[in-house]
This record gives sequence, structure tokens and C-alpha cells, in this order.
Amino acid sequence: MATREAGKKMIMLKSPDGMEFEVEEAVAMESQTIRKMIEDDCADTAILIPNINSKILSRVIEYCNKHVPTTGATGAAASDTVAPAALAEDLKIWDAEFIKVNRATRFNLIQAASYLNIKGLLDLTSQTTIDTISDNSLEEIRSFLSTKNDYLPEEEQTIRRENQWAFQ
Amino acid sequence: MENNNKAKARCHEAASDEAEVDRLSKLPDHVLLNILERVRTIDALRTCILSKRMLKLPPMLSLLDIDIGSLARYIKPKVDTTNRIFQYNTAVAAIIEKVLSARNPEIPIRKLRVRFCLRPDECLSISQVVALAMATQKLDVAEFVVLTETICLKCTEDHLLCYAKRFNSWLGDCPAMFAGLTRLWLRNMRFGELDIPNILSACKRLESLRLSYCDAGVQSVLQVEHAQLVELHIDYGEFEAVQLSCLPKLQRVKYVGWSHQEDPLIFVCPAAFKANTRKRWC
Repeated sequence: MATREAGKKMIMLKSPDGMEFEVEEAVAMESQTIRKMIEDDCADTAILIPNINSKILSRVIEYCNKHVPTTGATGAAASDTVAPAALAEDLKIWDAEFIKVNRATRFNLIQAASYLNIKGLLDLTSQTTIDTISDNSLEEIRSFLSTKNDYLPEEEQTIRRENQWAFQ
Repeated sequence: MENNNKAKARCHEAASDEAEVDRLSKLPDHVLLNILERVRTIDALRTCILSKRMLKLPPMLSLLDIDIGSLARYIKPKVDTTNRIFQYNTAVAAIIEKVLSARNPEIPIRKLRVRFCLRPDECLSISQVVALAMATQKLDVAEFVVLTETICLKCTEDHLLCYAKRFNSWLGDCPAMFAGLTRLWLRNMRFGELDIPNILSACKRLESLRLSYCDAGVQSVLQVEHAQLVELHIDYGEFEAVQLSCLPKLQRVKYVGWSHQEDPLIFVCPAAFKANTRKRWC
């Protein structure tokens, strides 16, 4: 959870399971959805984030904390001392660690990134998902993506006939 | 007691697996499309076969890249090479037709790239469906990468002449489709003197032209004049010179493997563009 620092505007994010997260406004505004709420003055003392439980929300905040631009209003820019390339490399390594989660968490993160409109997080979670789509058999993809086969037997036969190449 | 715990753990596992079922399908369309547009189109199409919900997505894909090379991994090859190319090329034509005929016309295609082999039947069938798509919906970038059955190193003069003839006849058959192409990459063709200017005038929207192992005969001069062309890339071939006439939008010219002594580029009407040529002596 973020701690209050002098001169930084803080806002409160609430998850549906009742947890509250106090975060810097700049961090929360990594989410375009929250940014719009703040800019439109819709953000009251606390913003309720629907459909995203506290476990996932805390991971999303962790991501935004790491990715918020380091040059802020305070003028203390981390990039003054660290070369941008090294910073980008550091972020890449951090991202790779961050996304080492189970399937359920990853899909929840995709959903959260989509709702909160955080492009970097959506890119990261989507990219990890597609790595499993290429070069695997359909059954492997099905199991990895947890996609239910909702065809009737005769429908499945037609699909197989029409897309023979895909099942080889 | 231990067994009981194990049973409980299994029960818990099963419950969490159940909760995970069809998680992907619950994501909104735009998120699924965002994921699917990151993989090869062939892989996206395969993934969409998995469920009825996913099957609704291909007509909404806005990036389509159908590549004969990516089919090779899924179609069991027949022994004979000619048959194999026929088999893959026919599959490309069939997939293009399937994907383009079921489009949601309200969703523009940002990019369509097709890489296939220059064989009359498949070329005609591919260009018919692409022409229809061009006429009925917004298509920002349409790119054809045209391969030939014989690779460049094995091409004789007869092959080069035959492929150029095939291409010319295809161009004559499908003027509407060529008028809408924005990028074209040809290889292994020896054209007649007026053929390339003819291609340029037929492909009115063309922004990028790449010619690999193409020319209009030994020591021929390529004349280029086009209102939209931004990029010209030539690899090898027997051109003695490239004459750049009226090319108001041209930004990049690249000639790799030019084999003559003199400078390859002749600026007839110098426009404000940056020429980037690398001379490699053969």
C-alpha cells in the first residue's frame, strides 16, 4: 500500500471486497479510465473499481507504481542518473518476473487492464497469452486458454471438415 | 487423515479448474481481438475454431496476414514439390476467401498481406475476393508478395520470361484489384520493355514496389513514374539504370546487387526525396 508523501496528491481506490488502497494520483492515472474520471471531476474521495478483487487490484497498483514516469512535478528524475536504455532493460526484467503468475491470475489481469485501460499491462498480459497459441496443437491451445468446446457433435464435425488444415 | 486431506486438495483443485473454464471467452471482443492480432493470422484462425464464441471473431480481425509459409507447418506435405506448392497455394486461396467473404463491413481492414505463389488459378481466385473486399469496405493497406514455383537460383531465362508473362496476363484479368493494391513484391520475372511502366500505371494506389531478380532484359533501363509511390526496392536483376521521372511522393530507393559500373540512378525530374542506395558489386 502506498504511503503518503509530502506534496503528492493521493487518491483512494476501493475494491468490491471492501479493501481500500491509497495511491498517488500520478500512479492511478496510469489507468486511462481513472485518469478520465479524475479529469472529469467524477472522482470523489474514493473510487470504487468494480469487478476487480483486492488481490488483482493490488497487483495492478504494483504494476502502475513501477511504470509511472519517474520525472514528476517534484523534479527529481531518476532518469537523470540512470541511462534510459538501462531503465528500459530493468523494466523488462521486472515485467518478466511480474507476469510469472498462474492462468487464472493472468486472465484476471487481462480483464483488469482492459477495464482500467492500461495499455502497457494489456500488452504484457496479452503477449504472454499468445506465446502459447503459436505452434501448439488445437487441444493444447484449448487446455491452455481454458476454452470450453461448446459445439454440438454434428457442428464439430462440420467445423473439422471445413477447417481440415487446422486440425493436422 | 492424510488421505482425507489429499481428497480435499483434489476437490479444491477440481473446483478451481472448473472456475477457470472458458475464462478466455469471457473477455470482451476488443481484448480477444487485441490478443489474436498479435499472432500469425493462421494461428488466430485456428484458435477461433475452438468455440462458437471465438468463431465470431475472424470477421472482425483488422490485421490479416495470410502467408503460404505459415501453412507449411499445419498441412502435411505430399512428397512431390509441385504438388506441395499447389496444395499450400490452394489452401491460401481458400482461407482468404473464407476470411474475406464473411467480413463485418463496418470494421475496416487496416492491413491485408497475402504471400502466395504465382499460379493462374489461385491468383485469379485470390484477386477476385480481394477486389470484392476493396469494393465493399475500407482497406488501408493491401499487400501482395508473389513467389514463384522455381526459386531464383534455379530460374533459367525461360522461367523468368514465363513468370513475367503469367503476371502480365493476371494483371490484365484483374485491373480493379491491382488498382487498389498499395504494396507489391515480385520476383523472378523478365519483363518486356513496357511491362513495368504498365504495372505502375495499373497499380494506381501503389506506395511500395519491390522487385527481386526482375528486369526488362539484360542492360535494360527501368523507367519509374508514379504519383503515389513512396518506396522502391530492387534486388539484383539486370537493369543498367533506373530512371526516376515524376515521383512526387518518393522517399526511399534501395538497389541491392547492382552489377554495372555507372551509377544506377538517373534523376530525370529531381524531387525532394532522400535516396538511399547501397552498391554491392557482384
